[in-house]
Amino acid sequence: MNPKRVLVVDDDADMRLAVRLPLESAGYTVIEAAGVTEGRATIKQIQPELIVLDVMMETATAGFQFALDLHSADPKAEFAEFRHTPIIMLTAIHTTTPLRFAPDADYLPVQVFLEKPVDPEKLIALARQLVGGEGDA
Amino acid sequence: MTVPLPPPISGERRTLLEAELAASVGWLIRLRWMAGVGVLAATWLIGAALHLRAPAGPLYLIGGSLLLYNFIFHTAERRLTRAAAPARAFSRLAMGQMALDWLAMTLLIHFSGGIESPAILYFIFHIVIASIFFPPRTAFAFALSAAALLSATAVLEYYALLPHEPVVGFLDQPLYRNGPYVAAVLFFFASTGLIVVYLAASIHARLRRREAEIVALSESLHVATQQLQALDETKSLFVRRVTHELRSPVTVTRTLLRTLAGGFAGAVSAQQQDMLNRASRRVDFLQKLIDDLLDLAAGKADLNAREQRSPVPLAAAVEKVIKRFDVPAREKGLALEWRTAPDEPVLTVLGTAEGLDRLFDNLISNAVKYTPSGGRVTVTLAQLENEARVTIEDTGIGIPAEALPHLFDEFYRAPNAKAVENEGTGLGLTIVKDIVARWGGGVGVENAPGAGVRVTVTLPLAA
Repeated sequence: MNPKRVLVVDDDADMRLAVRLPLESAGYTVIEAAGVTEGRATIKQIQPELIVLDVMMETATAGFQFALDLHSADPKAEFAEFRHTPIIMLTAIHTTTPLRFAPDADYLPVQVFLEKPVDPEKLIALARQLVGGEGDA
Repeated sequence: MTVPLPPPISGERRTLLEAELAASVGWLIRLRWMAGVGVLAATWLIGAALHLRAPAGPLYLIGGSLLLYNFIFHTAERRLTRAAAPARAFSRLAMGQMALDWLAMTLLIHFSGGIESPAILYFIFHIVIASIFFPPRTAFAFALSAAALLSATAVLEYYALLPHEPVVGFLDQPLYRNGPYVAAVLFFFASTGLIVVYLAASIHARLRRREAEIVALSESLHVATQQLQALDETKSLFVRRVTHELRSPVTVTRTLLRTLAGGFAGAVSAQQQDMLNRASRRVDFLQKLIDDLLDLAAGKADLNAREQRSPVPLAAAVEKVIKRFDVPAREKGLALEWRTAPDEPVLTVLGTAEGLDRLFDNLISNAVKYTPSGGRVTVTLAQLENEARVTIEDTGIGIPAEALPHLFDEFYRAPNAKAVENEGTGLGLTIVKDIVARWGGGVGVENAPGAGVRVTVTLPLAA
């Protein structure tokens, strides 16, 4: 079995690095996208088993919007094939942004929220919980 | 909450003046009802009670005419008010009333003895009213015309060109042919009229000046309010932007440091690990400082508007924070107690969930931080009439007397607190005070009897 693929969508290269290293050390294959635009363009080709998604990118809620499209209930939606692909959303705890989100099954079908700064151990634990082990590592 | 802006001043001033003139015209009409009834009553009184003989017919006619033309003016005034007519229309209406009043007054004087009539004094009222309604020049013209009308009456009667109409039985000796008396009355009447206009105009001018100053003041206040609002908006936007810009690099740095310290970028020696931990601690502190500062700034920027307050259950908010400190307290060997009457009705306060969280997080974290192992932190919720009171009492290090007055100062930290915990922003209590003040509550810190600190927060209950 091939290693499981994780798509990391974040516009901050340093953050992508900090997320990539622990996941790779846990045996996942990590593919980076430097924003939602790139994520949308490449996800079908990458076919990830797990998506790690930042919230504030092109817009203050670009990540949420992408997650919403990925998990759309409409079977004919553009990203319908990823409807069941789990997403880890990276959220900044304690922001003064007026927009505050919490996992809400009706509104946002996202599996897990992980608060920044990201604890690498927690990230690995979450990934294992969501998509199982590190593939064939 | 937004501060309602006053409408543009130029329009305001006009409508104010118009409203005032319209009100004055109404007032004049109400006065005239009394004057008309007064003339009729006085005429009756002269004959029936005082047993004097006056030309009752003409006097009743004057009283009746007063009431009649007042009715016409009353109708006109109503119509102008309904049509929200411009000030000019009211001014013309006032002018017409004044002219008819002058005529009525002159006739009244003529039929009550001419120069001998005590009703002459009543002309002064009319002159005062004219001074109130019209600019000084017009008022002077009215005063002079009153003098002219009286003089004409007196002179015509003196030369018997107009019949003298005395109130028989009022004077023993008729005075209307007494030259010096007639001249003296006319002189004093004319001068009194002019002086009255002068005095009234002076007072009026001073009032108008005040009024202009007030209008100018309110105009500048309006501008200042607008500027403040714009400033407030800019500040809010700035705070939001800075929030993101400042926090992002710190958050990323913390994540990178954790990845590095976790050995995910290669093995780390013990010394490297120690240095990474030190760096992590400093950056964690920086994050806390930024969070606190921005909280404070955001709170102040949101003071006027934006903060959407709604009824929040207090007990649940406090409990959430207590749960957060359960593990740290246990690890430190502290008893963290939560006391609330189980049958207590759900107390809600008008605020935000985040604000309550910040409020109690700061207070409970302080209590846990500054209470040594083996101690106790007790959080109590109670209702006091229409307030909720939360008390956080610890058995910790207490507060030196000299530090008490400075506790809520920004960046202030008590010396014994610094000794226990080197790092601290000194902003926690400032944030607490800021939130509580915004929501109309209060916070007090005192040394608990024995040892430790007791913090009391009161918040008004949501209606």
